[in-house]
Amino acid sequence: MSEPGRPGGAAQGRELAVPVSAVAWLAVAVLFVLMRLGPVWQAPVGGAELVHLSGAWQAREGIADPRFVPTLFQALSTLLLHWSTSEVPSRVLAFLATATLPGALYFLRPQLGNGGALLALLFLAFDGPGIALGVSASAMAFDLTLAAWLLVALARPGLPAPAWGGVAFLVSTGGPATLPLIAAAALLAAIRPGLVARDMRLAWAGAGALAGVTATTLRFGLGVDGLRIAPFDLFAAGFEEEWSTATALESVALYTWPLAIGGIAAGVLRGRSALRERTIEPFDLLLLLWGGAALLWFLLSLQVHSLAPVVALSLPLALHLGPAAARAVDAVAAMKRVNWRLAGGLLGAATLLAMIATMNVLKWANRGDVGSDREAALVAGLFLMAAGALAFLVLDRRTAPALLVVAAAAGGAFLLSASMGIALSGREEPVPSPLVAPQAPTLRRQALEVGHRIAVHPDVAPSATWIFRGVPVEVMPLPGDADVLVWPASLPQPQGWAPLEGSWALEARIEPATGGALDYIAWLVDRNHLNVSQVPVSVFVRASE
Amino acid sequence: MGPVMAFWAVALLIAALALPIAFTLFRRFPDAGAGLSFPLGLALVGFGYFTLRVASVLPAGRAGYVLAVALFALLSATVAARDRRFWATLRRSLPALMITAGLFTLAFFAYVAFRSFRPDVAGTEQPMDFMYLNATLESPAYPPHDPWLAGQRASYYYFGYLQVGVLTAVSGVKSSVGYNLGLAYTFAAAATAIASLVAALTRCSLGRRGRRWAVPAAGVAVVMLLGIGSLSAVFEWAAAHGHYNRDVFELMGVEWLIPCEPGVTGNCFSGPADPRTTAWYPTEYWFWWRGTRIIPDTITEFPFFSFMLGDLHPHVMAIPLVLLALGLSAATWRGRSLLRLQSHLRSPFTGVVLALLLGALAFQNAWDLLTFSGAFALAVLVRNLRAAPPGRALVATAGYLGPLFALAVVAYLPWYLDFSSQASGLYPYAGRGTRPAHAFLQFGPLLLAGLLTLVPAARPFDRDAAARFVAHAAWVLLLPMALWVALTIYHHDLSEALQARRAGGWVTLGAYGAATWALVTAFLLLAWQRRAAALPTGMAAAGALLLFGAELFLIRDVFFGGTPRLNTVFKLTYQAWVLLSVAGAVGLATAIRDARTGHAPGWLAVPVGALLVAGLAYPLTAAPNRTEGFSGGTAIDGLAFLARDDPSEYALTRWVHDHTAPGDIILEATGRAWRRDENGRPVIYDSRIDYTDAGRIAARTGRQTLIGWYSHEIQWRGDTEANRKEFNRRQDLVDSAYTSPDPLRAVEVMKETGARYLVVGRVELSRYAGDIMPPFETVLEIAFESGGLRVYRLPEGGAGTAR
Repeated sequence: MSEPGRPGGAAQGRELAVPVSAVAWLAVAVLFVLMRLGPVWQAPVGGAELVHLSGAWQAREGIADPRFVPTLFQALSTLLLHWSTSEVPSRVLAFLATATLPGALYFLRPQLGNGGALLALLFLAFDGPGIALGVSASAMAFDLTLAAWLLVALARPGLPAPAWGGVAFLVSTGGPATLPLIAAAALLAAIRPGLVARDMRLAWAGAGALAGVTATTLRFGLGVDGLRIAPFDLFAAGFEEEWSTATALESVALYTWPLAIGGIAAGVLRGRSALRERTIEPFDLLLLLWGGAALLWFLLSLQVHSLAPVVALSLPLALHLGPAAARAVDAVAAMKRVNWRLAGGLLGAATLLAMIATMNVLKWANRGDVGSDREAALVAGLFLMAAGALAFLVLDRRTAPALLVVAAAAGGAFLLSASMGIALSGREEPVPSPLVAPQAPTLRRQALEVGHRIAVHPDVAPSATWIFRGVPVEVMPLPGDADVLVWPASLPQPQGWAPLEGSWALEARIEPATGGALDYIAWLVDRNHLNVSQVPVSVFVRASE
Repeated sequence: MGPVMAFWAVALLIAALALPIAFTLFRRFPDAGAGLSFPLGLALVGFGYFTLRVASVLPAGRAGYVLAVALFALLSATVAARDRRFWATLRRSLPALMITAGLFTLAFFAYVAFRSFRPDVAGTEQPMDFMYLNATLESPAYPPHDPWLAGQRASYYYFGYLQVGVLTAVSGVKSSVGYNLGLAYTFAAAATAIASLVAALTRCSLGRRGRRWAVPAAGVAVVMLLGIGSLSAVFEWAAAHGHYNRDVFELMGVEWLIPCEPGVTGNCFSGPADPRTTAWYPTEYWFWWRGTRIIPDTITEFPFFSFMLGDLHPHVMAIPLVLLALGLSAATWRGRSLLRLQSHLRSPFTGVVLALLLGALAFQNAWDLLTFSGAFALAVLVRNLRAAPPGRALVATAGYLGPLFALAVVAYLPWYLDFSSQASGLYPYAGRGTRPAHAFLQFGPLLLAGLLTLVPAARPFDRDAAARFVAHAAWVLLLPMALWVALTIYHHDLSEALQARRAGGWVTLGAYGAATWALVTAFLLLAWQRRAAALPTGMAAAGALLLFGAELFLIRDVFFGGTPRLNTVFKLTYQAWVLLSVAGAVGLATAIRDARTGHAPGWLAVPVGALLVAGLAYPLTAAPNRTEGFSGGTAIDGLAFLARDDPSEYALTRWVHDHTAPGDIILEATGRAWRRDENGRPVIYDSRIDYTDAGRIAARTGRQTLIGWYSHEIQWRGDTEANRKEFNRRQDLVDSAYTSPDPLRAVEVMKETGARYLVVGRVELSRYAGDIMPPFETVLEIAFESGGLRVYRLPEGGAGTAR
């Protein structure tokens, strides 16, 4: 490193100097992007993506369908479907947008601190639902990125006024994940009226929002269907529709609880210190309000079948947790009096005891029932002893900081395992689900090859839209003059028709591991252990004379 | 437990959000209005939701409710940010806030525990209440539709259902759970509201040295409002154990508890011989029902009965709101500055909130509008009279109230446009009157407690002023009497009316009149002396005046032909119960304080207290009877009984809710029962509709059906020839679909009425029994089937072509 003002500094400056910080940013950003690359091609079409791709396809065909929600992404997705019937181009578009998120966090370094922003990005890299939603072709695909960039816009006063028009347009044509941030900003403006600049920026933002609402009301040229405000429409639909087999609560329990607990704890600590100091920076207050609004949405949506409130919560919590984790790392590193030897001993003992007990629990989980009373007492005893060792760790000020290492290791391992499940496989994960059944592509291929006219019963039509895209399909409750019938399995075989050999399904559901603690542990150990239930349909062809 | 906790948390959240507004309205209350923040927050969120739904700004479904709460949070934050005394008020009232939250929690969970023994949403008018709750929750457009009259909007005061809907939807619980938790919420919100109001009134009545009486008085008020009941329970309990003295029972007007003489059946007990009970409480089925039917041809319901029965009626849900209105009156009364038109310009926000809350009285329970907005108007007038000469005060009062009342109407215009009031004028009551014993059993304890508010007027006693105000107060009796005479001459024969009222009726009227006269005199005296004790005395006077008025007049409605004063006595005495509970608790605290300081009149608190304790006999005996000794399983889902007793019917109901669009119309049994005559033609053999399962799918799902409870629709929309014709036509249409031998008739009916589904559930199988129904499956799709029950769907565009 050159030292300014010293002779020879310029000469030394020519040497290649790569700051550790830059390397770290590059590494985490690449990690963030890589975690999202696989699902673009590998992930099955499912969840909200299946619904919204079906809507986009209907829009492409000129059919009015409530599954088409006029967000900018849906409109672009519809355009892309004119070019290719695959979901991949839409996903690539979502991926490209999501790949800019590290940039947004990079811009937030002044507010979050360099380490804080970097750690926040790291947490987001391993946010399973964020990965799933961020690269899926759902109407909400731009949401997470939009929210991050909106925060950048709010945090950096230098943004030119016309740019606010663009920001407002994008937000008003986006999904619901930005709503908590908008609510937080509105609350902040209410609490601290002086912060709101009553200048051209407001006018531009108003104009941009108006343009966005006009575009969504016109459904991007597909026709007017009343006033449509896309973020609100999707927010409302999230409470009613089934965009995920797992509920929001289950999704957090399965994928992001360390982030949720850590983020909430960090937020509470930040709030407490603000109350104690009786002062808080507007940005920090905005973050707190954002986290509070997102948490409220999540709490109201515990039983809702949608990932939107989970993803909307992850971002502000990561932004809380990142700086808190950075401060914790600094604080622990600065502690001279930490007795790492004693801490290591206690940790080792606790780990050993917990491991022995855990092995037993894993055995029970594989078997599906708890062992004998004696075995149970032994395991409980081991866990108690492990907890006792940790308690010693906490009670002694010389070793207490080591607990952070335990928490970070446990949480990190879980986040890694959960997010890898989505990033690498997807087909065995409860997110995304419900998804296109494995047999569905066969049906589609056959239909395309043979070119038969297919009649689909109205009861199964919603599941058939995406599968039979590009195939001549008629939705009708009676066989009519079709060549092939796709019928609910519960209905009797129509006269003059014979069943097509095979077991057919259009949709499959992966039930989350919610059958109790053992079921959950079994899933943690073996992520392929979940039940996949297929929603069966009957396929009939005309009986030969 | 999860749904209960979620509902409770949402109720607390909305109340917490309302605190900044409560602080601005009730800053001088000991709790700064925390106890009143429950109805305040919910009413304002409810108004916002209603208005924004009507304007099509908020979406249907749960999100609309959540957004309404979010907008309220924004409003609340804005108010807090602009209130320089917000944090100071918050710090000062923090202990009271904690007590309020604790009281709410205690009352909420206590009621939930009680209700969990009898959670069924069935019987009496509960299907109707459930129908309106579901209508507000499910209606695709606002104002909400009427599920029992497809194609029409609701014509009822449904604001209470809308507010329970807010809590239900935001907490994400099923409406069948929300119904019961809505009752628990109302119970708990009423407790916190009356505690807040009475604590404030007691503190300002007794002055600085009487502060320690505020909390006990608040506790007594909660018991008086929500705990005590008719004194008839004392006699019910005695009779159940075989103790009945004929003379005493006849004197107290409870002859129906004395065993019948041979050959006699009316007004005596014809049940099993002694002992009538096998437990320490009366075990006769629903004995407590009689406690609200003591005065012949009337209903004299009181809050404990309402909550025990579990009908989620408007007058029950209105209790917290009317207490809020009384709180507003009290807060207004306590102010010093002149209130006039310009006052609104200085604080427009307060004016708007006042207008919305006063306007909500009509939307919540139209009967409450006059009484409680009148109380508010009176509070403004008295305050202005303190601040200015009478002429100026009157002008200022008119200027202040005019815009308020105008906005109160305009804000709820979408509701007024659909609401068809069945009140068609003030009539004189020309019947036999109320026996004194019955009046005593029902209202004795509360009225006497209310009379204790006279005690402060006696100390120091200004004889000259009292003499003047006795004359002024007489007008409060003379004017109604004169009006009664005039109306009687116009509508009836005066001499007949005078004779029709029995001696007992005149005694009761006289007693109510004397109580009113004394209380109004004391009120005027105390108000003239600018003493804060005037306010509870005024409330007691209003309560007594309502009892007096209900003996003289009646509001003509659909019951006019048979039981003309049923609704008038019911609704006015219910209001009196609230007013006398508030005033009585303050009066009791005042009297006890006086007794302790050596003032003789204060000892009157002892017999009154004893009577109030006797009033506790009702809850102590009725609650175990209602729950059969708190036995059996518990649940909080109002449809748990259906899931348990008839799983197929329950599955059908859930299917309709989950798989049909909120705007869909369904056909279901009208309630009339049919069979074939000897010629094979379908004939009606039971035409009872109301209080049956008619319209039960619509009630339980919020979907529309062609016709539900016929007579109730008449009550809501008017007993006109056109209505009868239309409702009969609808019944005939539906019944023809189910009874015609040709299934295509069902298709015709469905196409004509826009119905998409036809239900063949347990009720249809029973009402259209004996193979009377055609084979619907030949022309309609089977959309749902379970245990022989079906839902048929009209094929899109191709009905009947499969045949």
